Amino acid sequence: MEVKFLIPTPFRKHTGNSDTVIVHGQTVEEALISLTEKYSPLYRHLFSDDGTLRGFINVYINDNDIRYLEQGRTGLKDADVISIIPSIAGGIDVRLPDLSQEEILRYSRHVIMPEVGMEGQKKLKAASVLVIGAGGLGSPVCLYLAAAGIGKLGIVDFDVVDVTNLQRQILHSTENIGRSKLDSARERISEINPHVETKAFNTMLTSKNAMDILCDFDVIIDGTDNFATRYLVNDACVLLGKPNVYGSIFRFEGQVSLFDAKRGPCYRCLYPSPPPPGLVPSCAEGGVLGVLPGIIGTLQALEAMKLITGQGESLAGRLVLFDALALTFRELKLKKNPNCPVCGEHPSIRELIDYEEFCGVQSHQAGSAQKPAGRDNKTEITPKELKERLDRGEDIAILDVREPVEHEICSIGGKLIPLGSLRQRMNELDPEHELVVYCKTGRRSGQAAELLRKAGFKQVENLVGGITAWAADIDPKMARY
Amino acid sequence: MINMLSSVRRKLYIHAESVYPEECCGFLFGAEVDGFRKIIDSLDVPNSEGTRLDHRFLITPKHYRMAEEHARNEGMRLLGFYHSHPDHKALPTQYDLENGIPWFLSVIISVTGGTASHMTAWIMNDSRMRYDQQSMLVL
Repeated sequence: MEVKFLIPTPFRKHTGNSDTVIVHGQTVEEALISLTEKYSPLYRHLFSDDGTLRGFINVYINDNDIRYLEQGRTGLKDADVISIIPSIAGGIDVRLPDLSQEEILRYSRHVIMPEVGMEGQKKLKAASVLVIGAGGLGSPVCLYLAAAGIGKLGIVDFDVVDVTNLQRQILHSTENIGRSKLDSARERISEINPHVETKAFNTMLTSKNAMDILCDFDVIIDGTDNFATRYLVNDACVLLGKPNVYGSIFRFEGQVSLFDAKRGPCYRCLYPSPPPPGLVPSCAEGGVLGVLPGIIGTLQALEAMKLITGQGESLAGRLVLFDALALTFRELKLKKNPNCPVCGEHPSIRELIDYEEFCGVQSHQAGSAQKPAGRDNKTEITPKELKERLDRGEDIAILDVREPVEHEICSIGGKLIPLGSLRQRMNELDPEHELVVYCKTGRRSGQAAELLRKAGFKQVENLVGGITAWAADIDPKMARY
Repeated sequence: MINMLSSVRRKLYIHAESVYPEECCGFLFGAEVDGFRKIIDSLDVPNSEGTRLDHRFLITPKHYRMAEEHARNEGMRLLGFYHSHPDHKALPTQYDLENGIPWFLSVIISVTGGTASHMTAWIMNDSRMRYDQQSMLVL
């Protein structure tokens, strides 16, 4: 294939002042070899001693970065235009913190590897990392980064340790049930490594506080479990120019990537808009294999360490998909979206927005304010009221829209039609009969009730708080999950 | 020998002071005749370094392309780049050397306590082993 190289100004000295060079090759690698054979002094400026392209050299084919194609193996067509574009970097050599004798011994398995060495370990000590969520993903992230000697670990969480967390959130132990996750996390981190400074933010991350919390940290790790916070973290990172190590988990599958909008795509480039509310169940609704956040969170910790020490090949522009049952890792190449509303060429989002509205979910405040007292608006019913009416012998049909495995754990009776098949099986229900719908927490049943009302059902009520509230208020002996 | 218009120096100093204590960066344009370079214009670009803006700068490929385009459109030559060293001497560091580009002129502005005090000009030699200082006259 005959292709054209565009030569940047500083290298034209080696191409006889020519800004274009025509060469032949089937792949980018062949074309580069052909170019450097023709103009041999170019070689040492383009390639390191080990024969790889220098870090600041970027190669584009017709405006596409080869890092997001097949790198050197990328095939060429006749008349392709290959641009060599340098990134320019520099700066002051800052003094890194010293390591004590005890620290050198503690981190000796790091320090003896040339890729980390004393300098890398000092960089880890100088670094600050913010972990958003001290849950399934945040647990291995905090444990490994603390053990590795990160200087400052920030943690954002507002929850308390619940018994259902312990199957996967290894930062917390049985004795900490009911205690603040932050207290539990800080205690465990200082047990692992007393050299680590922890900074706890006992708050929900919101548009109002995100910029202030994130701005003091070098690297942000997203261990959130909902879309609103994930978009919030992404946008705040883009606006502040911070790298965002992303991870997500569901049932047996996980994803991990590095979103660094200055060098590659952001989360919005991958997912421009959130899924409709309720389409993707949460881990509480769909379940998650306990070891899965261990694997994905550990990869997030690894990516943060690579970023801080400047080693290895970053996950920027790559999305790793892990399937625990098949035990496979797949990799997707991600491209920056030039029209991305937050990191694109003409961004429309220049400050944080209302992410709960963006994701179509009610905020906590709005949700509780709109909760009806009793059956005033006939769309919801409390467990207490349902129990009283059933005890009075009123004729109310009950519908469970959870999955059969959940129904097996506990039930308050009635017909079982999982939300996913409700549309097809609606004809099994009487649209004239009063119907109370329930699920685990009231979220899926809320959608089911809406669906049934739209289909013409006369009186449908959602059980507020689901079977979890029923177990708490009416039947304390009921199995909970 | 390098000549720089005083208007360019003013722009560079204003840029360096405005982003202090972070590092600024940008490009230099002009003409080169028989190895003699005259700087008549500059273009500031964002510092795209992710986490360490107070001691690192990064100019992305996107902004580099903008600079080449600017030179082409204005009929000038892209002669090099500049960056600031907040509260640090205007000397190339080991990091500057590792990431340097030969032939390109590298101008370093020292900013002390928020005030740009002086600047120096350097060109990395072809061996990539060192920067050679260039004498610079502001016109």
